[in-house]
Amino acid sequence: MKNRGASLRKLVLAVAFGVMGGTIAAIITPSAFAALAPKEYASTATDVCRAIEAQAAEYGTVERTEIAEGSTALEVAEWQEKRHSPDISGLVSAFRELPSDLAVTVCVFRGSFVTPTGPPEPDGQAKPSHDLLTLLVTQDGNVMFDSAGYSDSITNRSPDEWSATR
Amino acid sequence: MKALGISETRRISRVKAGLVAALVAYSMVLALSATGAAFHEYSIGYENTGSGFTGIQVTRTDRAVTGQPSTGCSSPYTGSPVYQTQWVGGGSNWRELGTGHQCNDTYRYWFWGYGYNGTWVSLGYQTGIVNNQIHTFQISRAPVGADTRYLYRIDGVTKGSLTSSATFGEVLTGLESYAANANVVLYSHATLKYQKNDGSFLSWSGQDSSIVGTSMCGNWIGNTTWQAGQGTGC
Repeated sequence: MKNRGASLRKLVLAVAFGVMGGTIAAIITPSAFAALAPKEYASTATDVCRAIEAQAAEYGTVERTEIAEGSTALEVAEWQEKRHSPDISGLVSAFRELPSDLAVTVCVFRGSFVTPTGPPEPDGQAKPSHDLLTLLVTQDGNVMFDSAGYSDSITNRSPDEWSATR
Repeated sequence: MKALGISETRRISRVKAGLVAALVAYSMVLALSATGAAFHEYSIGYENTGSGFTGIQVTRTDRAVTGQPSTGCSSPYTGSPVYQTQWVGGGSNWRELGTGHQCNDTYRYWFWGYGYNGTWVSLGYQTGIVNNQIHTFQISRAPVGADTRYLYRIDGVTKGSLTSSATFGEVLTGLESYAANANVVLYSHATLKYQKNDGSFLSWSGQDSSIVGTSMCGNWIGNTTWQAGQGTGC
C-alpha cells in the first residue's frame, strides 16, 4: 500500500541520514519495519479523517473520530460486500470500479446523525439517532457515505475489523 | 509577589483539574441534551398480519417539502432530511426504498439500502428527482438459483439488489422527518400491496396499525391508501 511504502521510505531515509535521534546499532529487520510502519500509517489516516470532520458534521453532530484506518479500494470493496454475510450477500461494491490499490481511508465518527434508522419501535417511539457514521475518503479526496449505526450493536466497523474475524 | 509554595501549587493544580472535569461533564450534559431534543417523527401505516413478508409496493408522488432548513445540500442523509419511504421489516433489520428531501427541498434523491442490526447501509441513490410526479416504488424478492434476491425497483426499473433468505413480520410506508418546521401537504401512499414468501403481490387489507407523531398527520383512506403529512400541510 502506498502509505506503508512511504513510511518505509521515510524510515530508510531517516536511518541513512542519521536523524533518528540516536545511534542505531542494530540492523533494521523486517520485524522492525512492521513495528514502525503502522504508526505512521495510522497517523496519516487520522489526518485524513480530521480534515473531513466538517463534512461529517453535515450528517448531524460529531463528537470525535472513533476509527481512522488506511485501506485500499479492493479491501473496502471486499469488506462492503461480505461484512454482513451470510445474512446479506450478493452485493457488488462501487469500489470495484476503482483501481484496486487506490488508497482509501475509512473514517468512523462518533456523534448523533440523521441517517435512516428504519421504522419506529413497536411502541411508536422513534428510534434513537445513529451514533456512529462511516465515511470513505479516496486518495483524490472524494468523500462517500458508507453506513451509520449504533455503537452497541454494529459489527465489522472497518475492513481491518472484518479481516480480523475471518 | 509572593512565590507559591509547593503545596499551594498542588492545591491550585487540583482546583484547575476539578474545573476542567466540571466543564467536561457540563459539556457532555449539553451534548446529551441536544441529542435528546433532536426532532425525529413519523407518519406511518403498517400491514403486519401474519408473517413471511418479502415485498411492498407503493404508488405515490414525490411530494414537495416547505419550511425545511437550507442544510444538507450536497449529500444524501445530511442536514434535516424528510424521507418519504417504505420498509420491509422492522426492529433492527429491514429493507428500505424512498425519496429524500433536503436543503429546503432543493436537494432531492431516491435512495435504497438495508438495515442490519440497526446499521443503515446505503446501496445507492439517484439525485435530480422532480417533485409532484407519480411513481411506483417496489421492494420484492424472487428466487435466483438456490438463493432469494431482494430487488429495489422504481417504475419497474431495478435500482439495486441483494441476496438474503430473511423474511419479515411487517411492511410499512409513510413519512420520516428530521425537520421540525417542515411542512408536507397531506398526500397519498396509494395502491398499497405486499408480497409474502416471494409470491404474488396482494392488496393491503387490514389497516393493521399506524404511528403518527405530534407534528405529523396521517390517516387511512380505505385499506390500500395511507395519507401522510407534516406541519401546516396537515
